Amino acid sequence: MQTEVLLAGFGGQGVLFMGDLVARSAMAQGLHVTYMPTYGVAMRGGTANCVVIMSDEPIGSPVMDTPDIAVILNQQSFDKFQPLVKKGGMIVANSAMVDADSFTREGDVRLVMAPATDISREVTGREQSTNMAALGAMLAADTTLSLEIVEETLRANLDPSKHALLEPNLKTIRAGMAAVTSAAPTS
Amino acid sequence: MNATAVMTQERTGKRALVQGNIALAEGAVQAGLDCYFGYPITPQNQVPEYLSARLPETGGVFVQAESELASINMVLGAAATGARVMTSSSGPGISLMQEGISFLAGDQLPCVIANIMRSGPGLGGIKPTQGDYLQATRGGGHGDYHTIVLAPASAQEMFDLTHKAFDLADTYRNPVLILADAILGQMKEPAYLEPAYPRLEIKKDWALTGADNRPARNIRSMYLEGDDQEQLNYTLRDKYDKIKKEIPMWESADTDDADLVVVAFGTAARIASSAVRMARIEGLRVGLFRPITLFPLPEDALRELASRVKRLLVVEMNLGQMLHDVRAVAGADVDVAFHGRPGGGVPTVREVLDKIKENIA
Repeated sequence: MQTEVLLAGFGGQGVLFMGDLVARSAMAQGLHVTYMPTYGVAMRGGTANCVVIMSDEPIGSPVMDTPDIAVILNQQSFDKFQPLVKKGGMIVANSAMVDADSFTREGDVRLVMAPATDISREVTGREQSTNMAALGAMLAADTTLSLEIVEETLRANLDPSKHALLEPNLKTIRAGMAAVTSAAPTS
Repeated sequence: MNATAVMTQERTGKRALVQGNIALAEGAVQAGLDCYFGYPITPQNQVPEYLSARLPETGGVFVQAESELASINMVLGAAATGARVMTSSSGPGISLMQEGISFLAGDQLPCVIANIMRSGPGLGGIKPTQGDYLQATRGGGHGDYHTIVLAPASAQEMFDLTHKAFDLADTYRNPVLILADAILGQMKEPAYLEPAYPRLEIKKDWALTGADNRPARNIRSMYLEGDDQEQLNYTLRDKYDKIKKEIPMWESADTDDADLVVVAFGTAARIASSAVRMARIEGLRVGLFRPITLFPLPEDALRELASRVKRLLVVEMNLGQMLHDVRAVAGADVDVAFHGRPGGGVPTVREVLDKIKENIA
């Protein structure tokens, strides 16, 4: 079983950090994993994305093909990537920045909307944990990774200089998760 | 030596999620890297960035040179003293280094050069490619010489093959080129960052260390008198023949009953392996042969394969470079088909699968 996860947003939303955390969590969970970021000509405010592939078998191609899951933090990335998602796959979108009416894959892709930016602001008073709220929403919608492993991995890998941010981020992940589990299933 | 020794070694300990460029740099450090000289270029910048912090910890020397020309000539100077030396660059930078690489080969100096390939020709772009295969395997500069060329396909091999490259360079007194690409450089994967084997300690009785209490030594590639120049070229030929016999490495999968075998290296082999797995699920008898050494190409293994399959399919991230070598080795007995995408494009798993189906009928 192989799961290809695309994470996309604009530069500064923490997409690459989120991808790195997903990849490290997958590794901690004993899965094979590859993480491929955008590199080179990227800038704050431009788009940023990365692809994490998790599998119980050794991974061949690390290149994005058709994502099973797309975690999308802004409208531009939503428009760009929704056509690529695998039939039967899932999009977890930040409803604070993505218009549900722009969804064109009804019937063949599951759309999970979570107000990641709002959740971040509510829990931490800042928007910087939007990525963690979206990650929580993904954990609720797809069970490949366990919350416990993600929490342990974040604890073990967060730079010591940012240790004050650990608890707020863990809280935001849980709040993102709760936002999806308590909501009625969408399309 | 077991042809696939690097691959089959059982590993224990803790794996790290590590970027290919960092794995490569740390492999060099653990091989006893004394000096690094380099000049920045995407997509290999993490190599100098990492080493600029790491080498001071180990007592090594890090110099950001003023150009690639300066880098490779600093490599030459340091290698002549017997130090373990490396540089890294990408496409245009490696082209600039070719004169120095030719001198290193003529001087028979060991060093390691990493080319994290980016698309060309010209300044090109920063996307991955395998467009430098011919430059790497033919020597690249002037004269009748070869570098040993190793082609990693994972973060683990970025570490392992770089570590091994220093031993090969010292063993044969020859430059060793690591030929990877932007995907292998930028991708993160779990890897053991401890060598499978301890580094070799090779006595360098040719190194220029100061002629106190011993006769002076001389390292040069210029021979104007008599038949010395021709003799040097025969010496190099004999060395390359020895290398061809002693170090071919490859990996193969699902080839025993295969009608068609895909031949690919590096990232192209990763993409092809996904296609081969899908073809097997559909019941097609397809295998994969991945050369790990590109010079020397594992000719005997390839020839044996060619003698028992119906067709080979070469897949590359270029418009057909290794293809010519595979055709030359396979001879007239077997068809050799090709699929490739040049710099700027990357073959998809679906494309390779379609090509497999087209060629297995």
